[in-house]
Amino acid sequence: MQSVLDECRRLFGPTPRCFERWAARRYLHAAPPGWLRRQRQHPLWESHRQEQQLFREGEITWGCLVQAHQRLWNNGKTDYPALVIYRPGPAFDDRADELNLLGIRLHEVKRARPDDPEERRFTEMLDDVYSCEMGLPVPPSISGDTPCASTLIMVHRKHLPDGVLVKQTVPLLILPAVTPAAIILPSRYWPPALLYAWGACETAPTGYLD
Amino acid sequence: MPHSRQQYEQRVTRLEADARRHPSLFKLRVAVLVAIGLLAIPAAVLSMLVPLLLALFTAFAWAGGIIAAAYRPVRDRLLAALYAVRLNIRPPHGIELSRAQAPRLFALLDDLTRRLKAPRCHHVLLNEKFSAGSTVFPRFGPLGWQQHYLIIGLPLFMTLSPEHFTAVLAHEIAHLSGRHGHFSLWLGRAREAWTRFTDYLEENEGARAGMNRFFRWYTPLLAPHNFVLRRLHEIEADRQAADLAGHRFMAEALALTYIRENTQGEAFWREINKLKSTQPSPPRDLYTRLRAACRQPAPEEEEQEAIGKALDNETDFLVPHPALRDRLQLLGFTAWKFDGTWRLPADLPLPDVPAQTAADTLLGESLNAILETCNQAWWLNHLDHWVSQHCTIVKAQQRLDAGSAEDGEESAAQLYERAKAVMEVSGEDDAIPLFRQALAVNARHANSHFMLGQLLLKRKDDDGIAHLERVINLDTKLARKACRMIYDYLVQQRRPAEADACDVKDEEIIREMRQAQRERSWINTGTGFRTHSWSDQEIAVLRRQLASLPQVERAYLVRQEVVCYPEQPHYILGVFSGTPLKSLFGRKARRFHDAICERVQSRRDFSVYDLDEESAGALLARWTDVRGALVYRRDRDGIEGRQRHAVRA
Repeated sequence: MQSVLDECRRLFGPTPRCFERWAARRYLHAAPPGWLRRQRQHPLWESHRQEQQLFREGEITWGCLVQAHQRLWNNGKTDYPALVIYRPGPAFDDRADELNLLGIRLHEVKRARPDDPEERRFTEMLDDVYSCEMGLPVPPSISGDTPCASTLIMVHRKHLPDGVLVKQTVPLLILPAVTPAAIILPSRYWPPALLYAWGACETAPTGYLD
Repeated sequence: MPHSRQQYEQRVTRLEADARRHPSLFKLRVAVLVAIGLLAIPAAVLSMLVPLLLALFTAFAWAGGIIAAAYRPVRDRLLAALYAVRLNIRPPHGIELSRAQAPRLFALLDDLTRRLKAPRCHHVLLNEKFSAGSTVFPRFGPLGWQQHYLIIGLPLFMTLSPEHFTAVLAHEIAHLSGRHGHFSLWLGRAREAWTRFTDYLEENEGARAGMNRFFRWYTPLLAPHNFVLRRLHEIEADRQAADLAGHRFMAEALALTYIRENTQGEAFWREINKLKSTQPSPPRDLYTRLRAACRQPAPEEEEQEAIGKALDNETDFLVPHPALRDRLQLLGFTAWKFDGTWRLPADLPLPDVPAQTAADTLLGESLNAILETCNQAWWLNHLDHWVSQHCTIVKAQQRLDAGSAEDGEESAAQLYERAKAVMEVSGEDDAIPLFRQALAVNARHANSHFMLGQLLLKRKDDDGIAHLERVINLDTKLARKACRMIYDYLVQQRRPAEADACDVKDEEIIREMRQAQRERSWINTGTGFRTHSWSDQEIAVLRRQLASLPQVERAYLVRQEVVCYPEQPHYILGVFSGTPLKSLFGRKARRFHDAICERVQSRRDFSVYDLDEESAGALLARWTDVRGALVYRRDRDGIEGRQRHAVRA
């Protein structure tokens, strides 16, 4: 699905990106939720600190959510964390399905309670999304030959269509050379195919006539 | 209040006769009915607010008593009214077509809207269904500015010839022309508002005082009126479309829509689903394949079977569209029965697959680009589910290869997962023995009962009822769905008495579910507690989660003894704060509670009770008696506690 990401890149613009002040303040910027404000040491502050730079210079790639706060799958107002895996570089633009397979593999390994300490450390994160770390690579014994990174992200509801998580595969803004933080590409810059895929589960509105 | 299916059907039949005799009068009647319902909401509020305000402004000694008595109902009615008028509709969803992309399609739409004197279509959307539709969406909510949407299913677009597709479009534009969408939207909104209002008041008995009689009269009237009106709209739209596109084309288009979905659609999706066992990700060219499939004629036998099935259906009381046979009859074509099978009229043979479909003609060169976008959308939409299904199938295959399945080592859950995967790939017939196998391993496996019951009813096998009845007793979450399935089956089988009994059962389930919810939502001194059954790993995760909340001093986890649905355990997590939780308006306690609810995540069903030493009272003593109830203590399991233990070790 290279062309979907290409379309995202075209809609979001080339780096370094400039945004209208109004758009940046009202739409792109997301205030930290209350639970995060009470935890000054939480790793997700890094994501808030790097937010502007990610929007300005971030590279767009596919990410796959392997663990997300349960409430994100329902309507609500508060933003919550999620653990995402991704492979940087355009070579993986067409291979979003591999991330999904890897996500399933991670959960299988977790259920099997691995003996390998590296695997155990990684899969224990999947029990509790708040305790996930930022920028931890997926153990090569699980990810195979191609290295794969993981990171904790804040899922901003206002950047999702209808403010709810629907799918695991998301376009992600990353900047690995600068920060382990990542952010979901705001849905205003998603192409129609991706928006349709996210909204296809929706029921018909009142007054629908076949 | 129960309103039986028979009463509903009788009312619909009566109203249909009225609507046919005087359609305009019927529409006026519906409008008046809706207006009454909408006016009843503010009236209900004012009828209590006025005495309250009068009492406030009078200096009589008994005023205080009136205020105290009326405050709660007034508040509840006011809240119910606010809750009711909240608009909760979204614009329809699909891939938008622009005029530049499809100039011929838009030219056709312009022509149809002009000839049918319909308002302009603001948006044309494509979706993946084998149907078409039109709707309106108020851009400014209650203030209006209606936007008209036309939704075209791409599979339908790629199947019909331009002439037949024009007839389908004419039907949809006729809906817009008759402002059916506006009226339906208004009626739908009013119904929704009224349902929300009554639901809210239902929970607050006091607030319903004086309105019960009105409720009893009004509620059962709305649904049948709405249903009959929608059916009237469908008949009107068919007639207008036939006048414009020609009766023959309209009839053929209807027959094609009903029949081709079954012949080409089902065979195509069967083949796609088979790929799940071999391909780890969904095909990237689904719509391109579908386009090719739409050009293939269906085998003669299959087509005759689909025709028989489509014509055999009778107009029911669930779907506003009349059945195909009746729609054709209204257009002047009478289906006939030969050898027990329904046939299309002799003067209406089913047209061949067109050389040029409507999509080819009306989208022209843009079709390939549109197909590519749809391919991408479909791939992204189905990726998660496909990958997970593929993994389940592969795992099941590995288990089979390893011989564990034959040895009977597979659990009911594993067998169920395998059966579901087999169902998607090889079809329902192959899955039925696996669901039975899962039930042989565990006769109380609700999901297997549910799937098996569903599949058997689809085959018109009454055994399915017994399986679904087991689900009603085993699983609260599936109970109502199961009951609905039995009901629909019995209605289809024309067994009204049993269907009515099922309807009563549904009411009973709702009552039981409410009771179960109430039972689980509070505890008192009479509540029984037992040892929880969480695994060590789950407890370790819970400890980690609680340790990250510095205000948590200690936590108890117990299983609540419940009467309703005892096989679905409910747990109580009693969390003690290190500091007193008393504060003005209870804000401190609420914040503490929210923090725990946000932080503690588990797949188990549990309620959080936040307590401090003062409020714990008798509960604490009882929880202490339950074995293994103390699951967290800050000085032992908290961050500092763990560090201290590590140093000692």
